[in-house]
Amino acid sequence: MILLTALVLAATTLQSDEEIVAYTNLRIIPVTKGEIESGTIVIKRGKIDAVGADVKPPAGARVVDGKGLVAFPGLVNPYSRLGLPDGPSGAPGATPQHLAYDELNPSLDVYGQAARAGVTTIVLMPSGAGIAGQGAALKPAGWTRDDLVLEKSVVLRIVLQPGTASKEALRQALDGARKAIDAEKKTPSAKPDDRTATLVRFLKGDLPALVEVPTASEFLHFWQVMEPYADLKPRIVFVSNPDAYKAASELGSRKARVILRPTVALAPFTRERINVAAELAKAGAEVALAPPSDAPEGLQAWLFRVAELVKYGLPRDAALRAVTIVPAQMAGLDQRVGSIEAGKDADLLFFSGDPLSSQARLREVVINGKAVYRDE
Amino acid sequence: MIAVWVLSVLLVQEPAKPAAPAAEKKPVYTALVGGDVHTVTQGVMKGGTVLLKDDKIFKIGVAVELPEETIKIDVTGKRVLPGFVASVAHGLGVSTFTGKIADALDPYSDSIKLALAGGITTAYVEQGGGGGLFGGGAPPSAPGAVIKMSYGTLDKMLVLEPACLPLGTWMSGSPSERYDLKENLVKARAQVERERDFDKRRSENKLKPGEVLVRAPAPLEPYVRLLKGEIAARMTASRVDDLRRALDLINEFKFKAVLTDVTEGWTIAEEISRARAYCIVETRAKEHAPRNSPRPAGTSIEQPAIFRKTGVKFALIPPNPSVGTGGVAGRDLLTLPLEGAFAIRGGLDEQTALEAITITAAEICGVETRVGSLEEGKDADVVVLDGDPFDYRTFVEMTFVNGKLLYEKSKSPYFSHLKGRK
Repeated sequence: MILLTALVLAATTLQSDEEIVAYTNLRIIPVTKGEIESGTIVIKRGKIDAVGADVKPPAGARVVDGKGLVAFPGLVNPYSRLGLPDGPSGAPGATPQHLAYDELNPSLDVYGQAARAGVTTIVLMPSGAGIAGQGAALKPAGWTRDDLVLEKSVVLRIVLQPGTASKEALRQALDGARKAIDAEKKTPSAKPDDRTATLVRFLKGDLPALVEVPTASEFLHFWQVMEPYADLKPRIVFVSNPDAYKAASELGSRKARVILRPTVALAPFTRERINVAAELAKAGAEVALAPPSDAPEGLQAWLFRVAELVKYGLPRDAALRAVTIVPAQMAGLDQRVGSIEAGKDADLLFFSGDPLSSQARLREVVINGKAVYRDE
Repeated sequence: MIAVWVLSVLLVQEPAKPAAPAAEKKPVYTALVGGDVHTVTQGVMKGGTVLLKDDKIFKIGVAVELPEETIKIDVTGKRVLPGFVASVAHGLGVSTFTGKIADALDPYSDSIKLALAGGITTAYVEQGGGGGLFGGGAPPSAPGAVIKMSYGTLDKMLVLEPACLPLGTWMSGSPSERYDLKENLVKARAQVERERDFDKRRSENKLKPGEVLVRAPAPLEPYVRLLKGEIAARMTASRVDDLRRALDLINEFKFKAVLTDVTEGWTIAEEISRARAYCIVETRAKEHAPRNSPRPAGTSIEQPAIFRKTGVKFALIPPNPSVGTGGVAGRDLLTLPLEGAFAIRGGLDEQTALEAITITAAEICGVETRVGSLEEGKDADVVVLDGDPFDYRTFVEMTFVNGKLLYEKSKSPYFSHLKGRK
């Protein structure tokens, strides 16, 4: 039924690219700036043209009265395998040249479902262990791979495992990349192969790495492995689990960036509740919150679970940023998505109340200026 | 292009680094004042002070002058001892591993928190299915490592790897495997003799022109190190037949050997003593002598005392050489000193019992120059106890590793509620 409405909607609200739409009387949460009690958002050519309390709808614009609605940036999922087949889990190797893009063959409506849950940007992970490959960014609007994909290569996925093998593979691969950098300095014409070139991009900070860390101790091991490359300023984002709270002070003092699932965990052997995201944020780390899972119920529960973290001590502002601008920054997409600002992509959510309220409904989802879902 | 520019700037700046001594860290002094200091190697000092400087023991004495800004901890009425050394530990401070233990260290492991609560600061960890009470695991085939219980940091956690040469093959291998092992030792012995001869002639300036020392091939390297005394061998030898089999090899090749799981050693203590083999003993192991055995056999609570009389050096470990909170109270590394208590019950003196969980255990692990006793210059691994280490009512109150206070009973979620005796 919902699917049907969505399709009908897509057909009936076909907007021409030149149409200008102005949503007025909105409460706006831009995330990067202070909240606007009552304001207007103007959308032109798929982008946000203007936003503010004093903005007037331009002449010829289609005006939508948003009274009672709250505008929020579309959610950015920084860590997903949505719609990708289960990859073979081989031994940890080093295949940085692999692309999640190559695994993507959309046939089911999983991306439409994600859009209806308010997810407007998804960073897809390649399968594999060790240095697994490059993640792609997509927007869940479209039916073909090329419609969906925003950028083919936005992050390098590295999966650490407790123990030995993955670290040794990582050391060797990075050592090779360092040699390639040195060789390129001597003879600029020397071009490394795809595999090494990807690692060079990572080491030089051009391609951020998403490093999966299964236990707190692996942070320490990873920093040890990366020590010789600190001069190149690689960009690192961790993906971790509740165990990360043990390393909170280390993560904080290094101003680390960490992606977590929004869960309140229990300390080992106790019934003591630990709000890991709040602990890390308090210590000084930057936290992004991925949905509890890729499944539809996980996406639907995303903001509820984030609200729970706020209830138990995570600052509201940090929580709202943790599902929008922070994951966008982590994937290097913050010039285009993650907040409501003039010049950015018009990826917008319209709620019937506060986005963290359990009573608020998601009324409308806009991607690239086009409504892809309306709750009627 | 920009990256290259940044790089060159960094390279230019690099030599400036050593010229910044202002950033040098001020040493941190911590003093434990007023306790009874059990040094293990240099007697007991009543009401003494142990002064730690960063990660080392700086001074021990009755009237130690404390530098400014010393963190002073009053331990009057308490006992101050070196941290305990577990000569065998399973699943402690490491995750599962296949290669180097250095890459598998798990400094945030809860097992480390528990070990610290038991006063353990150093442990020999190895892969293996455990021995003793829950045993049945295959003897370790890979060498273990000696690690510190340095919770929360990889810095100085690894002390020694590889920490031994496992010779399980000699004990349980096929005849051809045993033959190959012996061949390796023969070759290694020849190599050691070649190296000695080379060094001797070099010191006498009698080397042929252009002569260089031919090193042993990599697979032979551990055996050469063994015969040079740089590393100890470990062999699991429980009953008399196994023990004698191990002693045969030790006597033939004369190397530092550690016999583990020793149960019938007390029946041939003289032979073990002559071979100068170390033993790792579970005081509370229980194995009955075979029916109508014509000779003494099985376990004996007197084994440690008999070893002491015959001059066999030994370390004590619990029936379950791991830590946990589930169901094995008093039988795992959480209560290592209780193994000493049972040895004392069997006739051992308290000093040797203490050595068996500190300095002798350190010697067995090859790290006795760094840990196992309170001596100036040694690692600042210290425990504070609220009573006699061999009293079952005694608790660890504080544990320092590398000079850092990593455990306080009063703040521990696991132990703070246990009031103990007044």
